[in-house]
Amino acid sequence: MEEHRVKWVLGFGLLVALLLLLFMANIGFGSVSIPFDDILNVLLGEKASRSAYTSIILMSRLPQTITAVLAGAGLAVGGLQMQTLFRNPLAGPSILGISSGAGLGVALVVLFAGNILGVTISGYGLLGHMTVVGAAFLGAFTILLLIVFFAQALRDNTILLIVGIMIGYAASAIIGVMKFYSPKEDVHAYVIWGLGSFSNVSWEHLLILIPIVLIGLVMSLLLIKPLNVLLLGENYAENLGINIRNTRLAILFCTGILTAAITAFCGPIAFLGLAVPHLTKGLFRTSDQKVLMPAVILAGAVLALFCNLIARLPGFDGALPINVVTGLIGAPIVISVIIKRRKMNANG
Amino acid sequence: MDNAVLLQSNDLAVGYRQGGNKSLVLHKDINVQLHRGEFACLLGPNGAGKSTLIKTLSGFIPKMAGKVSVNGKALADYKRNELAKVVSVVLTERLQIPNMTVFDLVALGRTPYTDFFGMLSKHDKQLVKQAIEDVGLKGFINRQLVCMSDGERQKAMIAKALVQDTPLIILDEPTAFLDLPSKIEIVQLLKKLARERNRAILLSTHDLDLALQLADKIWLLAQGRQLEAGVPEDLVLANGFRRFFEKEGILFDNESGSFKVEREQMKTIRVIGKGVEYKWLSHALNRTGYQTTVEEGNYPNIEIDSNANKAYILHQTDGSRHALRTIEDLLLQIRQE
Repeated sequence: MEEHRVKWVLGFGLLVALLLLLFMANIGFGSVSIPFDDILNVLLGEKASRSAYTSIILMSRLPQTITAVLAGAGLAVGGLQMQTLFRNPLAGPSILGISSGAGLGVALVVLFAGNILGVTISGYGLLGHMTVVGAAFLGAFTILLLIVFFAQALRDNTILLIVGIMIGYAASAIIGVMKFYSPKEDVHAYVIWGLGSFSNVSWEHLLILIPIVLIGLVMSLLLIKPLNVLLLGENYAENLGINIRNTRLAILFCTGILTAAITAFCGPIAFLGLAVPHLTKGLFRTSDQKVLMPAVILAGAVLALFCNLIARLPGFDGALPINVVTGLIGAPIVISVIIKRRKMNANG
Repeated sequence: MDNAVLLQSNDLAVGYRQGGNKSLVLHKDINVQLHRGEFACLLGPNGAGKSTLIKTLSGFIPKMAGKVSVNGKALADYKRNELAKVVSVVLTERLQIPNMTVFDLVALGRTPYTDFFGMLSKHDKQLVKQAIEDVGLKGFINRQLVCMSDGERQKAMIAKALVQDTPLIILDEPTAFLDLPSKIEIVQLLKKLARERNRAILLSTHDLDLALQLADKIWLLAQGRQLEAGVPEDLVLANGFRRFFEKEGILFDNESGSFKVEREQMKTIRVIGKGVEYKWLSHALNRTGYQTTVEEGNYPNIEIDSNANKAYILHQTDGSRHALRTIEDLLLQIRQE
């Protein structure tokens, strides 16, 4: 027992240190490197040695960094909740088709509007961007409501999972049709959105994103006890006094609003939500959500910051979309962690 | 209070609601009682509706008619969290939860008593450790579930039920996928816990032998029949097992308390002797299709020589005589005639 405690304290210490380090690195590194002293000065509201630094940090890097933290934490929490609820290691926050719903919303605006109404949203700057965000959020929320509706009708979790996946396929199919009939430029704009980015989120957007993600994170902490019991499956959980129906709705809603908001602002960030819970479980070697939930929040933020940093490394200069980085860097990490864990288990 | 009736059903009907207003009643007019300290086994062939009855009694599915009460209060009147302190369950499913230790698992049994975040108090931890020792998993407290055998894992589930601290524990075929020694171990453990902890324990199982030897009460259930309950011996004497398990070619032998495969008895052989050799020789002859008798008559005789040179001496009806060392040789010799 005590041995575990020590390991967990070390784990949390490591994650917090990495979070601070990567937070500063995300603000400091980029096409223009900013000295550490200046970063601190700007963050503390004082003057930097060059006024350009102040505007770079405040107008570009700080919102981007905060967005990465929020998105990483939120998606990772969604992933952990889905993996626990469905008792399936392949589940992630997008498993129920919520991000496909966001994609459908965006496709309707970018492709359909461009095609039928003759308006090219991508040419409209900030207003166009807000429209895209709104459409994505509407699309994601519609799918979420549909899932919640099914969740009330279906008792069996596996069937609910299949329904969610099918809804996702249906949404993708409709997107496919729209792509087929759309001009190249619009399809390209849609593809760009689909690659994901933390850099399109302004302070105005953050005013919406921050509260939603915070609500989701707080809710996830309140769901720790029922999630722990759900590890045993629904029958045991019910026998232990858990209200399965309400708990499931709360979990779906929590993951749903996190995924909907984050996907609306950043595009579909694949992978983070699936990978972070696995990395965290590998690091902490526990199934206890009291440990995993806060750890996943930290690790999600850390991994998102890390990927964002790679995407912005000098030389790439934003040429690498975030989904490319998460896939290329993250996948090997996850594979190695899982294989290592297998070996440790096999050795007892 | 100690020996009071804990679980009681009156004209209970169990079954499933199907879509709409339709429902399927599998069994009705079930009248059973279970006392504290009592270990009861629910026996019946596959498809008899054991699971449905178990689920109804554990509060997973609603009853179709009649009454079922625990501690004098109707099951349906318990609030969710109250019920969790009255009935605990152990199910058939094999749980494979990565990274979960025995301690973690058993600690979840305290869920009805812990605070909003499920934090364990000192008292909770003490109970968890005690229960893990009680089921014989003392050295396994920090062992991962995935590194344990099925039998050990079910013991951990029983410890979970113990810390749930309910007067009634219901187990739905928890031994279904265990090997024989593990089965015996688990059933013995349950019997001991019922007695020592004054819990009422209901176990559904296929294992007739074990139930006959260890259960205080047996509930017999078969499709299209009224449930019969009683002490094992009464049920045997009333031909209960024979009626409930009858199937073409299988017969419950009231004398031995086990199943016999019915075959055409081909030939009668007289066996002379006593003791353990006599018992197993008769067993072997019955198994290979001979009827055995002690009466004299015009049959082959087998005499068991239990002296230092143990031998089976076969006297055929034609007067020939063979002395054989093992039952295997003997059977071969008989077959050759």
